Amino acid sequence: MRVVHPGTREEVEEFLESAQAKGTRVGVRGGRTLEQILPDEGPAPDLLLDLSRMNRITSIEKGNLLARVEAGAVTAAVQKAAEAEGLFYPPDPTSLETSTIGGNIACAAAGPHQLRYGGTRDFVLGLHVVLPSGKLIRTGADMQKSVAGYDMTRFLIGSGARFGVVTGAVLRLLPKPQCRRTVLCSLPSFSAGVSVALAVMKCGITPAAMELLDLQCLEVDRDAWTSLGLPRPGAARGESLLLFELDGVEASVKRQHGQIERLCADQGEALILTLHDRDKASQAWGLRRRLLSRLMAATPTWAMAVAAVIPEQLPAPFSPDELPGAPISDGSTCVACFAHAGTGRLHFFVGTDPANEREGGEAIALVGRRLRRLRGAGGKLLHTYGPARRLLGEIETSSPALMDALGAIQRSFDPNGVMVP
Amino acid sequence: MRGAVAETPSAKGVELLDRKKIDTCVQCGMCLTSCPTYRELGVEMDSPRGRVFLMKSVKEGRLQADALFAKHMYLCLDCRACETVCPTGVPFGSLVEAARVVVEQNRHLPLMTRLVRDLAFRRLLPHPGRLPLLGTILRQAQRLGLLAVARLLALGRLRNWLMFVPDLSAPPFSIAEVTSIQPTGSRRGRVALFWGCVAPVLLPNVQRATVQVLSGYGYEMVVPDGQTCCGALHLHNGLREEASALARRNLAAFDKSGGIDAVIVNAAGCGAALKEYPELLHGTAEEERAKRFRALVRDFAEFLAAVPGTPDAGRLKTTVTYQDPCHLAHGQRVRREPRQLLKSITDLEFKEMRDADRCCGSAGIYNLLNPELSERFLKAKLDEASKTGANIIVTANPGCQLQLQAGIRQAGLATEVLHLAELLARAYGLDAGGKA
Repeated sequence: MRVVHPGTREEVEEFLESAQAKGTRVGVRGGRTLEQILPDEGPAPDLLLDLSRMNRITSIEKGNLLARVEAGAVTAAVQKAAEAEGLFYPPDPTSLETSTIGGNIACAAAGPHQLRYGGTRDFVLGLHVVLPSGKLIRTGADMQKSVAGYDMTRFLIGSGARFGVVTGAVLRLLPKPQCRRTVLCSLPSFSAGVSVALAVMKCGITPAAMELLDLQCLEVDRDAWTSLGLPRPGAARGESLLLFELDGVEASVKRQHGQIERLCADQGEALILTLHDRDKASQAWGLRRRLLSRLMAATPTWAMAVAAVIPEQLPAPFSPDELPGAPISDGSTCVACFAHAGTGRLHFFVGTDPANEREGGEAIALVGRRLRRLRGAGGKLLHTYGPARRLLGEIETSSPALMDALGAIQRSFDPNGVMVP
Repeated sequence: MRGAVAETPSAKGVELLDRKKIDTCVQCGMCLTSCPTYRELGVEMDSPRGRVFLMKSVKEGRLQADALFAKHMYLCLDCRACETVCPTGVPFGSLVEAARVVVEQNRHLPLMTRLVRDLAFRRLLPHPGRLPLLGTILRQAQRLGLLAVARLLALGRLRNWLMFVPDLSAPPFSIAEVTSIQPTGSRRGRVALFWGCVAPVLLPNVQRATVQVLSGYGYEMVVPDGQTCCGALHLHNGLREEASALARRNLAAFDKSGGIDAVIVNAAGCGAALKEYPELLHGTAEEERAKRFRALVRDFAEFLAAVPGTPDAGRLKTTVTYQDPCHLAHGQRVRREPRQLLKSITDLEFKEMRDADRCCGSAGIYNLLNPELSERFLKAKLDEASKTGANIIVTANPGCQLQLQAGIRQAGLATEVLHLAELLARAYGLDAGGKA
């Protein structure tokens, strides 16, 4: 496999044109954050286009509320550039310090902000795509509203690199909210966390983000969380955490804050912490973003299931007779659960040690039971990640008829099968 | 598949690459944007994540420790900025140092690197008499204008290297003058000074100022006899055995210093190395001794900032900015202290520069071996420093200081580059013995 680092769109066109002529199979990579959780997936391409050099943020246009960027621009850098102009790019996949806009587009990435704002899909106005033939197409427009013809932009977002190589994007921006507040709500049990999250959804406010972490997630970064002022994980009121970002005009943030305080008070033992210090707030979100890496490093091998359920069914996977998220042992086997609580997206992490098969087996079985209950409640297993992912079962595939139709579309874009998604 | 490939003969010395340390890396890539070489080159294999991946491949026998591996291991600045942002605490510095020993054992270093290293690290640094002699020669050559001529005549690398010779007009400050110094203010305690090798010769005023400030704070100082180079450069360049030998000499020397409150180091690179002696001597008879020693080691700023109440807040009307030496900010996690000392000075305006903790490109002998890349880092650093409008760039490591001074001279700027000790001595009105 040869890795090349094109610096311009024209170079990408040339690489694809010559690959087409020679029958070379081409792959694309950005920040390689998917490789972290999906190692050794599928066949390796002959030629790998690494777009990290194409990282220019061409313009941030305040009046037009948009940004023009190259595909290799790191998501956090785009956010920062927008903030510097008093603007806001909400999509916040947890890998944003490393992942690129091109990568976010390829896998339709989203993060905690999905709740109020949506994900990458909702903030891309247009794309520059080099087709497998080496020809450039543009989709969408520079305008917030453009309805003529098919919505090719949305079709290409989340398509991997099946239909071509995204080299640039026009992103939609918002004015930066006047006020932002990070609120930590530490609770006596995981189910209390779930109840508060559901109550928040019903009470008529939409936080910018509402993340739920179980005990094991807090344990794995125990010192950092306690240094922010949380009780020691496992202590009274320290069994789970709801992490909120509230934003908007000041009065609205105050109102949301008050609502959440009232709902938590209903849970009796809740402890509420408001991080007014901006450094501390960003530290808390940094801890949330690094959670998966911490869990991965804590155990010899691991797997994670990402599933979704309607918010009202959020408690369904958890049985009252098991301690959700409690450490199965203090060794290297662990089961952890964290969720984008407002959107009903759940992450079931299981870390195991091949040296301790019995405990590992029990941990996997526990996650298996949770996934069965989740499916029973109408939920869906969306992805499995990690070296041990096969143990968590198969994700649902689309119907054969749909797969055929998609295959036909793919062949019309890439008749010679050059692209390796 | 892994089993089959492991049949190929592994590179020599792979046991030095600690499996546990490598496995701490979960390949998340959080380090990428903090890495100066990745930012500049945009090549995965020149990022911390890529380098750990290469080490892992060598460890598992899927890759040879060949010239390409050597290239990527040596393009790293060993600045350890990645350690600061790493979510899982990968000890990258220690890993890249081990990887360079592996490179060493498989003999894949470019000739130039080996020549420079042998000359400087084996023939010069460990010998207390030779550096001052070289200093005297350089000083006389500069005084007679021979250096300027040499710079005009020299070609290639040599011409570049001569750029780093600083202004040597200040008189030398020899270790012999300072075996024991009494405090000037009311006595607070007794400390031992780690003297270093290059700094006292090329930057005698830094040494002078360190002594003046500590003495002004009320400390009696001893400079234990028999101490030598800290071994950091050896360790960073694959010469682990040499580094261990130097460490043992230093431990023996400081054992004789008697009752002391601390061992003070004014060079960030040396300080980080001294603090890591226990790891360097892990599993040897000296490990315990190294741990006791490590408990006493303090960076100059770290030590002073912890002294309750300054003798005299000091006064200096100027604008300064601060450049974090990598081995202070990332290696020792000392960031707040130097800033606190600077901000305590009356009339002094402190302006933070952007990316103050990004490597200036000096990085041991990196600037001598990779001049082009090093210059790009230096230029970026000076650009950020100038944007602050500061008259003085303060730093706390001889390598950074020489690098920044060279950059300032080349760009024809008027900015001064001082060690924190020099600035404090000036603010406290102590630098009478300074420039002669």
